[in-house]
This record gives sequence, C-alpha cells and structure tokens, in this order.
Amino acid sequence: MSQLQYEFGAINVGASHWEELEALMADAAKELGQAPVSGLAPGVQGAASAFLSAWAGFAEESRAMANGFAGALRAAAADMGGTDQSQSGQYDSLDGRMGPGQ
Amino acid sequence: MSGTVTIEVPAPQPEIRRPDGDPGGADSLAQALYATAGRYEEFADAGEGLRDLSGWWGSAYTAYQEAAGTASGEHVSLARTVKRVANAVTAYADTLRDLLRTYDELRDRRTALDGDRADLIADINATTDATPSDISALQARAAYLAERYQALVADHDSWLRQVTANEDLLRHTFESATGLGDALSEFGGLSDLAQSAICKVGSPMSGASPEQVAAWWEGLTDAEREAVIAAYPDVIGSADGLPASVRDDANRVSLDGDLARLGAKEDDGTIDSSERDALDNARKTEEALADADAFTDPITGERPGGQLWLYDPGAFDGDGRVAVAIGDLDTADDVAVFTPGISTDMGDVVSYANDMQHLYEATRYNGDGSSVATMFWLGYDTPSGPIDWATLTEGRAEDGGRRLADAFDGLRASRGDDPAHLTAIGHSYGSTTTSYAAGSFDLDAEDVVLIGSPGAGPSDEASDFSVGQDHVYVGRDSRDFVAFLGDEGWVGKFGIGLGTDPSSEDFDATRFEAERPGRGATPIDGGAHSSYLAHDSESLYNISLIVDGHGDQVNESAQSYDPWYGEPEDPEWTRDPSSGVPGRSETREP
Amino acid sequence: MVGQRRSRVWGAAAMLVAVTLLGGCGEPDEQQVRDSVAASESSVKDAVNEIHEALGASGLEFESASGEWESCRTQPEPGFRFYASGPLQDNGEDPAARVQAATEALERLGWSVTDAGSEPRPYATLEQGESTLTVAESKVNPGSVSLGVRGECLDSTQDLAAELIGESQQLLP
Repeated sequence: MSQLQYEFGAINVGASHWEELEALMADAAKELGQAPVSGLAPGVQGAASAFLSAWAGFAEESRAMANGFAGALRAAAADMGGTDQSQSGQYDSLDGRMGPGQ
Repeated sequence: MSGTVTIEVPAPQPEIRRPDGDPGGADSLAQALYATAGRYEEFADAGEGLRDLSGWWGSAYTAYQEAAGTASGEHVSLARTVKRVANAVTAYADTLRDLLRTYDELRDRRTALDGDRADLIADINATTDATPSDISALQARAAYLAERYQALVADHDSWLRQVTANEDLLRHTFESATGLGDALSEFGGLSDLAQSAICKVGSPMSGASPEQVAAWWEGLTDAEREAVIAAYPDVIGSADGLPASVRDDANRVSLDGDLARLGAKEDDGTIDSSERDALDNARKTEEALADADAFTDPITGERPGGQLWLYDPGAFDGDGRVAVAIGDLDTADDVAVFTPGISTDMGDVVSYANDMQHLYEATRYNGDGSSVATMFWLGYDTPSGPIDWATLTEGRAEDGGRRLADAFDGLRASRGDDPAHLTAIGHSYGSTTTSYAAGSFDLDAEDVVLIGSPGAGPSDEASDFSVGQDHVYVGRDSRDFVAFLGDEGWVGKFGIGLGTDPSSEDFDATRFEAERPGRGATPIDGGAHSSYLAHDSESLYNISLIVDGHGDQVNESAQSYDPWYGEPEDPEWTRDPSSGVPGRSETREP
Repeated sequence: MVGQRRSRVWGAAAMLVAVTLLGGCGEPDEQQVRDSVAASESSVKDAVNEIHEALGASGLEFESASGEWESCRTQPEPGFRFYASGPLQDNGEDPAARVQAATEALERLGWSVTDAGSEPRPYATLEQGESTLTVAESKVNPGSVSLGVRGECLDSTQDLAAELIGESQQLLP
C-alpha cells in the first residue's frame, strides 16, 4: 500500500472509532431516558428525574460530538483522496466542548 | 374500700409508617448509572487515543486535536460525577435495607406493647374489690408500660431522622450533579454535607493517625457519616481507625460499583484487559464475601457475617489489596489476622477466605467460648514468585511489615476501650512480613504465629519481637522446603533465605506440632508448604488455641537445630503425625 | 568449612526445588481437574453410602450426612478436598462403646485404624486409599458421636475454587 493510502486508512479507522463511540453514547442517552426512579422515595424522585433528563441530554450532546468528529474525519480523508482540493468546511464547526458553545 | 380509682393507661403510640422506596429498584437505577459511567470512561479513553492520527496535518488537524482533547478531559469529569451519583444511589439502597429491618423490629415492639396494654386493661376491668396492693400493682404496670412506649417513641424518632436523612442525602447528591457546570466540576456529585465533613479535623483525607481518624468519626453526626460513606467509599473503606462495620459498608458500595460498571463495559464490548482483571478480582471478592456471609458458627448455628475490611483492586498494578473477615472485628474477643505469601493476589481470595472459615471454626470448637473474628489480609505487594528478585530480598517484606503494623494500629484505634486479643499469623513470605512488623515496626498484637517461614527478617531471636518471646509461636512441617531457605546457625544468609529460621533453637520461639500424615519422604512435597490451615491438621489445632488466647496449651515440638559439624536437623522428621485426633489435630465436630 | 559448603549447596538445592514447584510448572489442565474433582466427590459419596449400610447393620444409625468442598492447601496451586460428615444416632450406649462398634464395622469395610483412644474423649481415626476418617465424641455436644470422611486433597485452580466452595450438599438421607 502506498503511504498516502495508508494514511487515509488510519483516518478512516479513526472515523469508525468515533462512530462506535457515537453508538455507545446513543445507548447511554436511551438508557438514561428510561432509567427507573420508582425505587426511590417520592421526595427524591423529582430530583432524580431532573438529573436523568439532564444527563440524557448530555449523552445526546456527546453522541452528536462523536458524530461530528466522525464526519470531519471522513471528510478529511475524502479531501485528501479527491482531486478537488477544496476543503469541505466541516472543520469550522468542530468543537469538543459540551454545552451551548457547541 | 369505696370510690373509684383511676389508673392511667398510656395511649398506644407511635404510628410507624413503612419508609418509601425499594432497595432493589434503587439498585437497578444504580446499575444504569454505573453503565453510564463506564461509557463516559470509554469515551474519554478512546477520545484521548484518537487525538493523534497519522497522515493528517494542517490547521484542520490541529483544530480536531484540540477539540478531541477537550472532549476527552470533560468526559473524564463527567464519568467521575456520574459514578459518584451511582455510589450515592447504592449507599441509599444499602441504608434503606438496614432501615427496613429496623422498621420490622419497631413494629414488632409496638405489637408487643399493644398486647401488654390490652392485657392490662382487661385485668383492670376484671378487678373488683381492689385492695391497695392490687391498685399499686396495676399502677406499677401502667407506669412501666408508659416507660416502654416512651422508649419506643424515642427510638422511632431517631429512626425517622435517619430515614429522612437518607432521602435528603440522595436528593442533594442528584442536585449537585444536574447542572452542566456541576457535572463537569471536580466536585460534581459530592453532597455539601460530605464535603464539609471530610474537611473536618482528623479526616482520613488529611493524613491523620488512626487515633485521630477514630476521633473524627466519633464527632460526626449520623447524617454526616452516611454522607461520607456515599461520597468517598474508597477513602472510608481503607481508613485505619474507622470501625470495621463502617469500612465494610463503604467497601461494599465500591465493590457493587465495580461489578456494575465493569460488567456493563463487558456487555458493551468496551472492556480492556486490565479492566477485565479488575472485574475478575471483583467477582472473586463478591464470591468470597458471599461465602463469609453465609457461614454459620459451629456452636451457635448463627451467622456471624463477613466484613470486607479492605478493597482496592487497582493496587500494585492490578494485583490488588483485599481483606475479608469472618465474624465481627469490632466486637470479637479474639481477632486473628492472616498474612499470605508469595504470588498471592486478589484472585486467591475465595480459597483463603475458606481457610479463615477453618480458623474460625477451629478456634470456636476447641475454644473457651469467646467470640472470634478471623481475617485474611492481602494489604501488601507480594512478590510474584521465587524467581522474582523481590522474593530473594526483603524489601517487599519490610514495606509490607510497615503496612501490617499500620493495619493493626487501625484495628486497635477502632476498638478504643474494648480491645481484642489480637494474633498476627504470617505464612511463607507473609511470615517474613509479619516478622518485620513485629521486629521493626512495633506490631501492636498479643501473639504472633509464623508458619512455613523462610526467615524471620530483621530479627535473630523471638525476644526481638514486640510481643515478647513467650508470645511467638512457630509451625514448620518438616517437609516444608521453603522453611529450608531460612538461615541456620552461623552459616549466614549469602543472599539465600530471608533471615533466621524461626523454628530453630537459635531463634528460640515456641514450636508447635505441624506435621501431616501422608507426608512425603523428601522435602519435594508441595503440600507441606501450604497446608497449615487445613481442617483436622495438627497445625490448625495449635494455631486455633493461640488465637483463642491459650497458646500455653499448644502441643509443643522440639526446635530444629544446626550442629556446627553438618546440615540442619529437624527432630520432627521422624515423629508420627496425627490427623483428626481430639486434643492434637481435631478442629471440628467430625 | 565443609559444613558451611554443604549448607550452601543445600540452600541452592532448596531454591531450585522452590523454583520448580512454586514457579508454576503450568496450571493444571482444567478438564483434568474437573475429572479428578468429580471422581473424588463420587468416591467419598460412595464411601458414605457404604458406611451408612455397614453401620446400620451393626445397630448404629448413620442417617444424615452432608458434604462440601473445602480448601486443603494454597500453594503452589490451590488444593481442595471433599468432606462429608454426620452424626451417629444415639442408641443408648455410651460414646466409647459407639466409637468402638463403629470402628469395628469400618474395619470390616476395609478401613484401617491409624489411631484410637479415649483421651480427651473417645475417638478413632482410620484410612482407606487416599481418604481418611474420624469418628469421635463431640466436644461441643458431649454424649453425641459423629463421623467425618476426608477425600484426597486435589490440585485445582482458583476459578474452580469459586465454583466449588460454599455449596453444601445433603448426602443422606
């Protein structure tokens, strides 16, 4: 394999890993959304539900983040492989931070 | 006598309501949160690993690397926060189980009191032509009944406070981890109550001595105690000076947490090899603890219960630290701590916990009725094998000796004014470790037993030990080749052996019978090195007497000796050994 | 200096032995271990049944017994053995007579006596093949006599330990 092809391979493998993490965090978001609070005393259930709902949201953000990284890597590999040298512009919106800044 | 006499019968009280909540349901929630923590950890690890991708360069790559790095760091914080909340839910469930047990007891008391009240009323109504003494008898009964109702009210109030505190603590913990800022903070998931308690003087996080830690715990309210167990289970579970029951509560939270989190990673397919080892260690610990909890005392038929006194599966590069006890270390009259030897790691905990069961049984069966607790302590870094350089030198034994002495200081400090009779038992390399503890670090025990010892470390004589010469006992199977590694007479160490052979005349400890029938004809007999705690053996019989506080009654055997003109000689070589013989080697009802 | 040299050689030989035995000449093969465990358990259970019949025929009732696996050594590999035990019913005779009668019945079954006596209380220890047995008056329940059979101590693995330990089985009735 030529050096160039090998490098595209590494980037694509990276993208696959991010896709796996995306799936993992999708599972996390789902599980948090469905987590049972009925075992807790009523006085605690409200706080527990608020916590779970917030964290289901965080997990969804992580999922989106992983999706973003995967997409960026796929685009990078495509850019380097293609004869069209124009950047795909996906990097501009890359952000590893949680929260509104995303 | 005429006129009406009124006898005040106390009103039945209090109303006792079952607390809300279901421990099993709470555990399910904890399970989901531990799984979440595992996923966040995986994201953090993988994210870190994915920062460097060969073949990419330029400003876009740099932007990616920065973003991935930030993401990884934040996910470490998120994982830590959600794990803390998971621990708090586990602690809530464990406490709720205890509270439900107390609820049943309170209800039973109320029922009994109500029954006595009904009897009293019936007796009052049935009394006609009451004499003065009839009246004062009934009044006395009424007064006594009133006292007992008051006591129940007081106990119920205190219990109710605990129920409320348990709910409040969990609610606060959820609240401390819900906002994104909190979730990302290094204090995410830590209740304010726990944070303020852990900052008080004498806290185990401040490097305080065992006595100071004991005093710190004494000074905490019940609510603070529950809060720190939930928030800092790994710190509380290993803090010398704290009661064993407290360490046990905290360590069980940690253990449940590891089982859930690592089990979820196993299910997700994201578990790596060191996590797999940690999960295996956790499962074996769970098994050993279940065996200890299920064990029944041979005399009372009741379950003394097990205690997880130490649980640290990541220590020493994954070999782990663990200590499992049978019986109650906080209240037993006689407490024995067993330190194992070469190549022991946490994976061995099930069979060693079984040996502790044998020791408990033997001490009770042949004992004077005193209560017993026996603990297997793997709190030091054992060398991995005889060809490990660490075995041929005493460094690990010295470090281990210091740790063992600290553990004993912790056991002492936690008992305060109710000291136990403490025996330290060291096997193989663990006996050299125990020798360091007693010889160099002033081990605070009453009796020391060395079995299968390759050498007594820094001490040339039993009188060098902190317990005094009369309290040093040695068991050596004549076919135990490891014992040959001990130095004899004036030969000197020459880099082989780990000190003076403690079964020798030179060392001058009390040697007890420790032979086995069916022993081989030569020292190439693997079983000779590690059968000292087998049931119905001479050695277990004698060790149990020592643990029970009756070391003066062991069956002594002649010490080995090293004449100047030849090889060391062991008189036990030719004695006919026994097995299962009452008064010599019977350690249980057949 | 001859004694010194011999001791050094002896020390080195001991180390070599230690290396061989403790250095882990490989963990035992799992299937072999399972086979030997099954064989030993079944051999002790057979012995218990034979003893039940033989004692019954001598007027001594050995009606209930339980068995479980226990640790018997810890290094180089963990070792376990199967242990079965139970009480002899009280037939009105004194403990010494019952121990005596049981011993005779066991000898007829092929067990040989390794030790017997009456101090501190009546007892006999016997062996047959790789198994050993104790029959004695109980220390904690004076007047009652029990019998226990110990199977061979077998090499095993820590994984198997977790499976075997902690399970008590009822063997009789």
